[in-house]
Amino acid sequence: MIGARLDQADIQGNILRGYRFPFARHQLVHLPGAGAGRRWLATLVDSVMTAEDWPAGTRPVVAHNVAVTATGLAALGVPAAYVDACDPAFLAGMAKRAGRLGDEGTSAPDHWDPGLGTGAGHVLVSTYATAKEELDGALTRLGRGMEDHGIAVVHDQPAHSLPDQIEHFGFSDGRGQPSIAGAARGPAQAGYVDWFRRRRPFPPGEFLLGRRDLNGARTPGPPGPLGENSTYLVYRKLGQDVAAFRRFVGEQAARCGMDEALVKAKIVGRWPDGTPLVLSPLRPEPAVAGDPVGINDFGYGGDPDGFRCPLGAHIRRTNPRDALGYGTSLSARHRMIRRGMPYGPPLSGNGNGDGGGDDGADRGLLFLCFVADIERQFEFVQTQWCNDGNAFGLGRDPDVLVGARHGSAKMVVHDPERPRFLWPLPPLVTTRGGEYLLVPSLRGLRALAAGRVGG
Amino acid sequence: MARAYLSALVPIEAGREEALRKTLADLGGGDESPFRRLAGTHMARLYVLDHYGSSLLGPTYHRALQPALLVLTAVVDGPPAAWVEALRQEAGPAAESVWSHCSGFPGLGDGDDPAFGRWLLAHEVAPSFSVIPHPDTTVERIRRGLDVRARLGDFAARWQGAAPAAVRSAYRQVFNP
Repeated sequence: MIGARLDQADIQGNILRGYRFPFARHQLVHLPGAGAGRRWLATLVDSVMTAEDWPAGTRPVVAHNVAVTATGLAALGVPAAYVDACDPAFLAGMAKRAGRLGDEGTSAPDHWDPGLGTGAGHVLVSTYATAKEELDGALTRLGRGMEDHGIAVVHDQPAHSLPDQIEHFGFSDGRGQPSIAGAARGPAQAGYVDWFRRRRPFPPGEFLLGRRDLNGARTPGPPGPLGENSTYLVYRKLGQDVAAFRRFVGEQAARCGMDEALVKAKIVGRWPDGTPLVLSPLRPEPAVAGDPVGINDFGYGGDPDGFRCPLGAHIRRTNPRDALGYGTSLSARHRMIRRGMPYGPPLSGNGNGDGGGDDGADRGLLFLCFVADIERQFEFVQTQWCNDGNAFGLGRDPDVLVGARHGSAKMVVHDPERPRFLWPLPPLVTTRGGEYLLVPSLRGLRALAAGRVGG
Repeated sequence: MARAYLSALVPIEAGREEALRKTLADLGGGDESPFRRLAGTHMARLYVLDHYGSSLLGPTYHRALQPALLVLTAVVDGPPAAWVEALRQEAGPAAESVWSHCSGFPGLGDGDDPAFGRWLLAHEVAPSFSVIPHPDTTVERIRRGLDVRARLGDFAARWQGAAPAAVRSAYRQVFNP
């Protein structure tokens, strides 16, 4: 049943609703063998946070979640025939899909951070906490367990919220999230528009395996406990060159005769506080930004020429809503649950005319998203809507922020009097590595730990 | 030149559905697509249709199809029969690997053998709905138009804000050398 309550005790936390913990650490580990791996996993299972509601006043201070790569399933002793029933993109891994994703040049896998995209990473343990001290304590306990079982960390990534929930370029992030039938509706979540123009929450199968999706089909997955209430996680480390972004904005503002704040808003499609340009094209609107429903309750049907929000603005590309016609039917099957978080220290200054100095620090965004079909959801958005502009009548123009670059790339800022062109587009974001992972259900995790998957 | 919307639904032989899915997955898209070799192809797509549903009746309305169908949808310049013949001639091995999983496949034949084309087009259904961005022109004209647009866009971006005389001079150099 679409509207039936989901089995939240069987679904890992942070999927249906974001934790919003300010500190996180993601550790990708290598298992020494199936036996030790399963024994270690068994010690973890009971500490994995589920999607169950937290009664008032009982918000936990720490949460762990676990995901497994395709090589990790094999390392845990899952038979190959069973593993092969998983999503083809998951089986290949993000590094092998780099060509189609546009991860070339400095974003190519041979430049990635050590441990990412090599096949050596088997299990990703994500630890979230309300405070740095709580996080450190949890990691110490986790580290002891790893040591006891001979588990080696191959990638270790801290992340943390920035003030006001912004990302490093200065924008409020994670505002447009899909609402899911059977789950409590959280802030800034919105569904799709059906044929009767009713707003409906997405069927769970768009994000969970073994559930009905928008086409009425059960999302395919492996048989048994991994095939229901599990999901796929796209883990993608994106380095952000904040100094280059500020220089670019300053240069383009001068070149186009526009205010810097407006140039930034046109690139993103929102003002820094989250106000959508399509609702308020001239200035941020605190009443909209402060409305948890209104901030995500809009479409582009009234702005077909992009005069309010450019056709190639980042949020209009990554979720075109009704911009492609036929209501939201051409965009609804490409939604993602995003749980990204920044890493690295913020660059000082506010970026508005205060120069473009760089401190050389490593910073960026850990892009995390949950999907039921990696190719249809994440890869489609990256390749068709971010790396290319054809779907929006923009030729080959890429997204300014995360689109793969080519020689004549530009962004058109539409205007009734004359268009402005942001050009040339420097590289602002570099892929530092990534993995495709399976986030098992709790039953799936227990079966993996017990060696009862596919046997 | 007339535009044709081609949809052919062919039953898949019992027990061959998974093998066909693997064949389709291995065909490759983009430059690797066998359709790439066929001039006048606006779009072409192959997929297995194993169920039907209805958005009007809601996401839970879902019925399995037995047998499952292999669907070819294509938008092409010129008559479908000519395009299917080009498919047979230019992408024979790929076509054989795909449709040989289907019931009644007659083989591709030799020379001008019309059997494959007749068989495939006997499964044609008239599409009631089609989405194509440029329905009134040919692939060749679209490619030329895209090239002009890309060059104009590139020019406009490079010369934005320049003095009119400089823009005029540069325009002549780029577009009317």
